[in-house]
Amino acid sequence: MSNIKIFNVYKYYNGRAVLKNINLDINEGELVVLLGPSGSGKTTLINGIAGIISFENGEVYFNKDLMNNVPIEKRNAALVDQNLLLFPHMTVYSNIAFGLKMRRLDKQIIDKKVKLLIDLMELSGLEKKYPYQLSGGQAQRVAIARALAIEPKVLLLDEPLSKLDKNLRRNMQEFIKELQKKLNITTIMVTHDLEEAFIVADKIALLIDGEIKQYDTPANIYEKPVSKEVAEFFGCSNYIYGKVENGKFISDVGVFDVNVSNCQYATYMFRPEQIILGEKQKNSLKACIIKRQYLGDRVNYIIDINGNKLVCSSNNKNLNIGDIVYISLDFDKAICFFE
Amino acid sequence: MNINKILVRIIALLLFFPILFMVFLSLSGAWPWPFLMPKSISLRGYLYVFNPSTKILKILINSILLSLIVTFITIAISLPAANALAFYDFKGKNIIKVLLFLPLIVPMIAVTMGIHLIFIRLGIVNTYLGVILIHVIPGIPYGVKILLNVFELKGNKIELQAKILGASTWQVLRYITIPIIMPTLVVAGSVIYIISFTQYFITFLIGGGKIITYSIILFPFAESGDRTILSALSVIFVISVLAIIYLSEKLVKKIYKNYI
Ligand SMILES: Nc1ncnc2c1ncn2[C@@H]1O[C@H](COP(=O)(O)OP(=O)(O)OP(=O)(O)O)[C@@H](O)[C@H]1O
Ligand SMILES: [Mg+2]
Repeated sequence: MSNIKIFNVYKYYNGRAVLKNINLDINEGELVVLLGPSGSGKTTLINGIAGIISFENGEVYFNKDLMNNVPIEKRNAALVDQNLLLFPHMTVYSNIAFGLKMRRLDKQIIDKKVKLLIDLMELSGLEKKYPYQLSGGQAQRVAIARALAIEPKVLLLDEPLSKLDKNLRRNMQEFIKELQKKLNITTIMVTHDLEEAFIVADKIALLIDGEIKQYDTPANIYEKPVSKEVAEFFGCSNYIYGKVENGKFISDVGVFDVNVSNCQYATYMFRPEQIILGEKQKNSLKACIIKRQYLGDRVNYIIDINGNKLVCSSNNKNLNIGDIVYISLDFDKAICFFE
Repeated sequence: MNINKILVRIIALLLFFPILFMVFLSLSGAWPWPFLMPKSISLRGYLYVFNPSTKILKILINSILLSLIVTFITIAISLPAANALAFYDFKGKNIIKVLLFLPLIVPMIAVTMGIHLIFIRLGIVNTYLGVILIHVIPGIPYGVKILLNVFELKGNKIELQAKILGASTWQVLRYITIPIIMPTLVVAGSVIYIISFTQYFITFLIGGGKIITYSIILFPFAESGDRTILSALSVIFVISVLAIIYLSEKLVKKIYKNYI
């Protein structure tokens, strides 16, 4: 168990910066999700923490110890690779026991630990099977068990659930979260699945183009994004452009009372579920539905207000194209960007 | 039958025919032209080979041992060399790649002439050690090339995973790399073994006629023209090589099973 500090890290490939000025502080026992689009540098960062690649610049600390020159095998940072990399010539049992065997532990101690992990990861009955005989989910659990066996200071999971179908994935997410809390292992998990990030993370670090755009709790990163880029990553958003003068936000959509100081260019952002469809009220706005997207548990309506298109999400599935609706916008909860 | 199967059969036949011919020759008494079959069968060739006074059997066993040692040493050198060439970047890597193949391009005789002088100074001419060392040289390019291809194809991700789990460089080699590339090691080993087992001239030069290998006793018969004995020797030669390769493959598989 250990905290992790990543300071001012840069990584270049062929003269191109793949990681730029990465700074992260991870507390002991925390689970941080590294989220970002494909090619944003997630694997590169996590591989650097494990020691598989070296960074051109910057420092990685576990507790107070600088890791930069510590060889892979001495770091005690267990990485579960995107491709799992189970040892093909070894049984499930031998795979899990590998790290302990390399430490030359007593056979009986190894046996006890491996059996414990086999129970914990619900792998009983598979001890003598070879990796090619396992299902995707089983293989993934073996890979995690093998990593946990060495009681790592730091657990690094690179899209460990990417190959599972949705149901198994949900189960494994719960499972990983519970296990991680139970064992209190500082963990970094990579994913590009938003929902997965929200389910498992204590904190999310959003990586885009090799830069950490925001590092915050799931609630904060969704509700208080620091930039439009971050907001947009977490799904479709509505922007209303205008200016603020004497406590009023003046825009094409309308004039609203707000609590901010004067500003020539202001942008308010509303999530689709923050636009409430309802009855005509004091501050409600009249709008017309121009498009309808049925999503099963809810419906997305695209509405038109004075020529501005907004997307709103609602449980009310009974509205149709052409209907006139009244919406209310809560400017206190909306996010404002000043430019 | 598709073209592949036909081709395989033609190749097998082409390879098999000379061996069959050799077996015939080794068992023939008189076989004058223009008869298609020998006129009589004779065990003269084999009796000569197995006659203790000729010491041929003893030389055969010595040769096998010598070539096995050469094979081990060559593999032991090729393995880390190929590993470094595949996975590490260092200055002069490309030059080393070219240098490694030099023994294939420059005639072995020229190489041996040069090394002969060094070996004289080291006092290892006319010794087994000298012969073993000189046999290692022509094997290295093959060993490195075969292993390098496999390493480049396979990558070293699995090895890195083993390191992450705490394995030292030596443990990675022993528990991961060697078991996984074992089939390739057997192929490389067979090639190296055959190269060593067939060396004639360089053995003669460095061994100074004191170290006698099977290939060395084979050549005078090729000159003298006693085709029956030559063929019997050749048949034994082929059988011994096949047997060694077969047995080592079996042995290696068995060791490899217990090892994990
Ligand atoms: N060995 C390498 N040589 C050159 N470029 C590389 C190398 N490894 C990664 N890159 C580049 O670095 C960038 C980041 O790659 P990385 O694998 O970290 O992305 P990722 O965020 O893990 O993506 P994904 O979600 O698809 O796994 C990519 O543009 C990739 O092409
Ligand atoms: Mg990746």
